[in-house]
Amino acid sequence: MTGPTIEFFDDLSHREHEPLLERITATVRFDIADHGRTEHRLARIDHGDIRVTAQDAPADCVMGGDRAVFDAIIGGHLTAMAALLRGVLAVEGDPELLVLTQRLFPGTGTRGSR
Amino acid sequence: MTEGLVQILEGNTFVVSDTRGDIEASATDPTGLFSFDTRFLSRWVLTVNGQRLSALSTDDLQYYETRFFLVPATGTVYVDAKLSVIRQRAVDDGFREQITVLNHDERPTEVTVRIEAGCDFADLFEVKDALEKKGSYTTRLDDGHLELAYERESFRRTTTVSTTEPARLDEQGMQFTALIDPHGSWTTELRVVPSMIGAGGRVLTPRAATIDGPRPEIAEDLDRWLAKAPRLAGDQDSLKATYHRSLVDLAALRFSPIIAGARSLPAAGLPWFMTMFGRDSILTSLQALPFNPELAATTLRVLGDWQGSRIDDFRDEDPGRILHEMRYGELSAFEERPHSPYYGNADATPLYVILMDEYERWTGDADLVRDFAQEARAALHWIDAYADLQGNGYISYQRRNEETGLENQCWKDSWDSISYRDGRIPGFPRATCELQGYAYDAKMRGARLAREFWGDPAYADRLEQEAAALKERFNRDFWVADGGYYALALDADGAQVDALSSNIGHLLWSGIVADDRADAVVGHLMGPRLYSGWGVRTLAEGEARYNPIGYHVGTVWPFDNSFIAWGLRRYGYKAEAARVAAGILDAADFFAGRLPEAFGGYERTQTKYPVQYPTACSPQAWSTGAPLLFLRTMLGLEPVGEHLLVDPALPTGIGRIELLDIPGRWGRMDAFGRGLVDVSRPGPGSRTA
Repeated sequence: MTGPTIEFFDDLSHREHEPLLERITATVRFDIADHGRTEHRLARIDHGDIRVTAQDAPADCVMGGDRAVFDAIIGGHLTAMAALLRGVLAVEGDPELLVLTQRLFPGTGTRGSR
Repeated sequence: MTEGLVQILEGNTFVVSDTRGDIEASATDPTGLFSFDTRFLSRWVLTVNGQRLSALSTDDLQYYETRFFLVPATGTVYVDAKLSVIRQRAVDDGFREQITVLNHDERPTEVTVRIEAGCDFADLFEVKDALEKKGSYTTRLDDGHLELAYERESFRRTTTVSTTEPARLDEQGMQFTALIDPHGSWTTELRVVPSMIGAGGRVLTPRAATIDGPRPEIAEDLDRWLAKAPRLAGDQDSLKATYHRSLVDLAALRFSPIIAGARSLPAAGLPWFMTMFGRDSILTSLQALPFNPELAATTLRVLGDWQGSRIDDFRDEDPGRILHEMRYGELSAFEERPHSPYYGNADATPLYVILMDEYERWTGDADLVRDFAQEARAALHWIDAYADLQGNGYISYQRRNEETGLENQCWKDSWDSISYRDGRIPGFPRATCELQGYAYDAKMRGARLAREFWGDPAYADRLEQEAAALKERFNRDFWVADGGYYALALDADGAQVDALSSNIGHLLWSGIVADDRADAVVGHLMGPRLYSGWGVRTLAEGEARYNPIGYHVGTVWPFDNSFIAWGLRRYGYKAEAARVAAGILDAADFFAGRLPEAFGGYERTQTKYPVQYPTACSPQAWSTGAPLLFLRTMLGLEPVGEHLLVDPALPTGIGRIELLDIPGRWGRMDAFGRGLVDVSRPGPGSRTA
């Protein structure tokens, strides 16, 4: 699998520390579906220190959706809340982490596609 | 709300019906069962033997529960006394309704009871603006349940109706046939469950309701809520009634947004604003701090989590900005409205820092202040880095979402609220005065937090220097010399928008008023152009746009007055603060203790009673919080170090009052006071230290 979402997690695994998540210690798993295949990205956050692996392990919050949905959220074209309400993003576990992990996403700088 | 409508609510769910309990909503009519900004029932009509019913009486048992006494309508003045019907309805995550038919005859009788159910699944925005739906509807009859559903792509919402008695189901509702003994009765309980269905069929609401699930313990929860609040004792029964009403309504207006788990924060108010609002949640939490500090804690956490982190023009989002409004309906889901969440306001961000400081001063909860240091610093950074649109050192606002964003991003958000004396409306950006006061206060309080909790004295020094410079600049640029007050705003050219308004009262609360100008400001607030006898008007009589029933241009807002009274106390005007409190609390008596959002700015001597603003929201969170803040102000409650200072200045009419078990970092403390301030006429300068 390639594309913005996978690239984002590759970058994230090199970022190591995110000051905006310093009060967070938790695990968040992303289940990214594409043409019948699902890839996993597990982010372990320890006071803002981030490690990303491709493990399919239990997490405090699990988000699942199509690759296109993750591409849109990470690219700043869609908020996770709208995706959740629209029924294209599934969230299990602590929903607060859904909100906080959005701080990792770069966004577009202007309005998204609508 | 409209006359003749009955409303019950619990958190984010509310039911509005006619006095018979029926719902027959049209596209633009705010009746129905609403939950998370979506209408889940638009038709709910009860008939007995094919006849509609008429109401004998309607009893509001609790804020979440109503009972309707009904008889079959005969079309004449005579009532068919052989049959009567009791409908008892309670809101939980949807609602439960018990229907009881009583046979008053000495012979058995067979009755046909029918309930018609239908739903348009309108987004609250659609109800407001009468928009067309884009999805499709289905109705399913399934194992004794009636399921109404709406689908648009993967967006799915359902309403399920079930019954405890066997019924014949059809697409329009359910029908019962019963033989009732002489002087006997027949009963069924109907359960209506709204569901927001997410990806993979998961239910999205925090406390997912089920058809068979136990009833949430609303009554027990309300008892716990009331038991935790301080107890008010004293001579004046009406004050005690208003206090009780405020606590109960505040309980009703708590709701759990999807991401807050079981924690709750104040929603704004019925009917349109039953949602998460940055400004309203913060101001209500400030009002309620001495009575229930948990609301403030949740507000700080949830708004902190949602703090803006990027630049998004559609949502008017900036890094550090505190959200304005979150909506959960179809239009937000499909981003046809920007409320997922929308950030377009200019005051919630500094107010966030103010609430954090005030919360710590009351509770001593240093952990929260340390945990959310990033958010508070980002909020302070927003003031200078993103809100200074004109580069003149002031917060101003101008929406970037020209289509569906908000034009006026201060609390007076109607189109004509900001005007010059002569009635002209300024262009954008606009820098309203109270925003500068909030910015000043946020920097001063941020400095205390930086010094005491964040271990950053250099940052604290910098914030204090910036605050001092802002105060000096503000007193130079906003002071209307020929009027002796502060301008309502600066316009896009930096010129004064020179109308006299209630906003100057917020400036006292913030502490940005130069000491030698306080007398002049207070003189205006308590003078005949602003003070109506009930309270301080939003806009002064004599300004071109003044209208005693204009939403933000002449009405009196209880919440506005509660912060003005706090400001008067801050500058030592105890008697004036008592006078403002007394006027609004007198008005509350005319509304059975439930203050509306706003009432008319007519002179008190002219109308004798306060005239409710026609479409005012009620109950509304920050009106509900106003009596609480007035109590704090009149008793002069102020946390000082580890202690609670009590310095009462009460109006004579109140007599003796005791506020017992005030929670805070001191544990629990009592405050006592006696009414000694004569508020019947304006006194000369009564400032005391």
